Amino acid sequence: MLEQIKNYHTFVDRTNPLTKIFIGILLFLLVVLMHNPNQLFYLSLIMLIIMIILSGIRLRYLAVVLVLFFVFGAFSAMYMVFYGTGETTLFRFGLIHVTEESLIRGIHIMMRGLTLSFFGALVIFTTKLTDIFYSMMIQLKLKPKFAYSFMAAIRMVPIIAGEYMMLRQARKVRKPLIHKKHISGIKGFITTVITLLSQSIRRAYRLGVAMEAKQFDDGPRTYYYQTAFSKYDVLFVMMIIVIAFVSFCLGTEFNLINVTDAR
Amino acid sequence: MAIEIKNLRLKFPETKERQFSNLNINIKTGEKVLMLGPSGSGKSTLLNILGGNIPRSMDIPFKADVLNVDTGAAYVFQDPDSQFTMPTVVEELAFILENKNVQRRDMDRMIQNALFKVGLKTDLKMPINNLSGGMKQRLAIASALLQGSGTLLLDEPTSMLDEASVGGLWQTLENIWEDKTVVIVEHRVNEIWDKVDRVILMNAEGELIMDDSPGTIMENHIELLNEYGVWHPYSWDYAPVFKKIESGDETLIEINDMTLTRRKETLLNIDNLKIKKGEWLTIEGKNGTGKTSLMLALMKLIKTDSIIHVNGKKVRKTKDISGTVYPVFQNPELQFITNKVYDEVFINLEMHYPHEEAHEKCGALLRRIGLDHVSHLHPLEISTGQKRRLSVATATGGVPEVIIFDEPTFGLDQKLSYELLKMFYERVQDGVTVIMITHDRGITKRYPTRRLILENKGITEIRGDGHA
Repeated sequence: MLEQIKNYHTFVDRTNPLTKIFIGILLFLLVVLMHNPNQLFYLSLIMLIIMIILSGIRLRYLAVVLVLFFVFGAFSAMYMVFYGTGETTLFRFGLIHVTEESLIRGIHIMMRGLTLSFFGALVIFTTKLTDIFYSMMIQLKLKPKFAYSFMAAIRMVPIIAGEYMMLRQARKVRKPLIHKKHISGIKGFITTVITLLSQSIRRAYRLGVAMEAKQFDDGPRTYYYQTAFSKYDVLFVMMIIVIAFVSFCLGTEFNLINVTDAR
Repeated sequence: MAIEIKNLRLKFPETKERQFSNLNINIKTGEKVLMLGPSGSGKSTLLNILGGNIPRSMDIPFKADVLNVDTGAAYVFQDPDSQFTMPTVVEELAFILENKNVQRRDMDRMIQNALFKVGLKTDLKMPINNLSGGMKQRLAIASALLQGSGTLLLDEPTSMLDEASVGGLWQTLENIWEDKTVVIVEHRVNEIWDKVDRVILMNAEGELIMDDSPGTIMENHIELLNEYGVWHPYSWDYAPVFKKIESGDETLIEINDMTLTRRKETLLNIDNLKIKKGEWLTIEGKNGTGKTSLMLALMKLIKTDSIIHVNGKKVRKTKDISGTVYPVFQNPELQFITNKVYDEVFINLEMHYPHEEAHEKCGALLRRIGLDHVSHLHPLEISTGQKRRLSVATATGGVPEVIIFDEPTFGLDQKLSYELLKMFYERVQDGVTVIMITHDRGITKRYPTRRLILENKGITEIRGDGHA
């Protein structure tokens, strides 16, 4: 699916998913511990640029994702901006009380969210789901039965979604033929859930039988995708370190606002 | 490898009767065997024993004095959606090879080879969900090939395919099965009758009542096949014959300027299509020509450019047409809304008859479609064939003016298919318009007053010229 909206591949596509996830955790800690809004501003800005360049996603889709990020970011900031405490009042209207401190704190929170979102988007746009499970099996020794069950489950999601659409259509046309008490309200909801669940359980059971008939077991196996750690992982880690370092320096040297601690 | 089972006894925990008692079966290496029998005879269960699915994956208690089966047998199942593990074609095939601990460097060659043998020309990274039914079954055969087993067990592999793909699929199978032991469970046997060495017939009690060459059975035992409702190459000679239907002139539905699209490509164009009162229409066409989409578009369940009138009134929303026109979907489970087979039919009737009479009619209808013995069960508990009949029964009661059936006879045995055809005929006689989407040439040749064939993005119309 991802392949259809990609223009090109970069080295990040070849980076081991585990590296990306691990770096993601470190980045989260870094962002939480970074209290200088100037530094965070540069960090999020660089992350945005890196994401746009390295994800290889078509601009149209990228634009949609970015708009969503900014809208959600703005929302999360707004709570802090409107209702946070502070001393230098900028604006007051009823319950809303905007102060300089709360404004800066709000924007700071938004930038935290954005930085992580940009990084997350970069990871999602450059990682195939199957690669995650393969590297978890190969590098982290996850049991094959869990990995393959998850991959099979993911294949089922669009099937279940399609089934739900059909179920709604079927009910729409049956409705006029029967008393509406059978189809509306809680009763209708329960039968919908039961139908979808029982279909999924039956499908999962049949798939389980099919997998075992294909001689699947939990023992040692060979792998089609040979995920390993490579020079690309080193490159990726170094890139993130450089980004963090540069934004730290820029934020210290070129202050955009005169606040160095948002707390 | 050779298969031998002696004195097999098997009982499902939830039933009173044994499914099999004292069943013996011998299959020689390299033999091609076709297993026939009415629904409920335990063909699929036996197939699951032959390949070791029971007891490996299915916990069903059984005993046998001799049990020589091939636990490494390769299967091709009926439902393409529940036999693949991985998202893409190449990953699915690699999954088999990984299971066999094949080295990575050998995989690409083996996968290409298998795809070539089954004639599946597709991008390796193609998501399986985007393949057509026929392609999915070819992929399943390629998987079976890669498994490298000497035994191939086929559980109704063609039941979800149109007639054109069925022929191709059996051809593919014939090309690869030379040195393999093959056991086939199948309803539609026209294409394979002459290709197998032996035909085994089972009855509803799970007994093997006939075991002979296809030629001998055809010559001597055709009545037995009819009696058990098993399809055979001459089944349609025994099909019910109806009097000619005189459809009225009154136009019920008129469709103008309909354009169906799928993924931005035009699928079907209809300038003008009139459907009259009391017609028996069939809609034919290969997989993917938009038969089901046409039904959904008519019901305004999917968005299309079209002008539709029902009884002279313009249809804007589903609400304007539902009730007058009732579609029975291919997937029967989705149409059920109650907890009991009985209620499923009864709620339709209770709206239109006094209480007592509704109960009476409900019972009669269930007996007629052979569901009276399961009327206390949950609609999702009964077998696929039974569900299909029940879904047809949801179109009764305050009979709509037009009923559209999407593949109603699909997966049903001969007897029950004929029973449904009789029901449809009675409906038509009552003045109801019946529209059937079907692949079955046996039906389209005989019954409809008019045939609509979807091809080249348009509709070709043929007058029905059979018995009806």
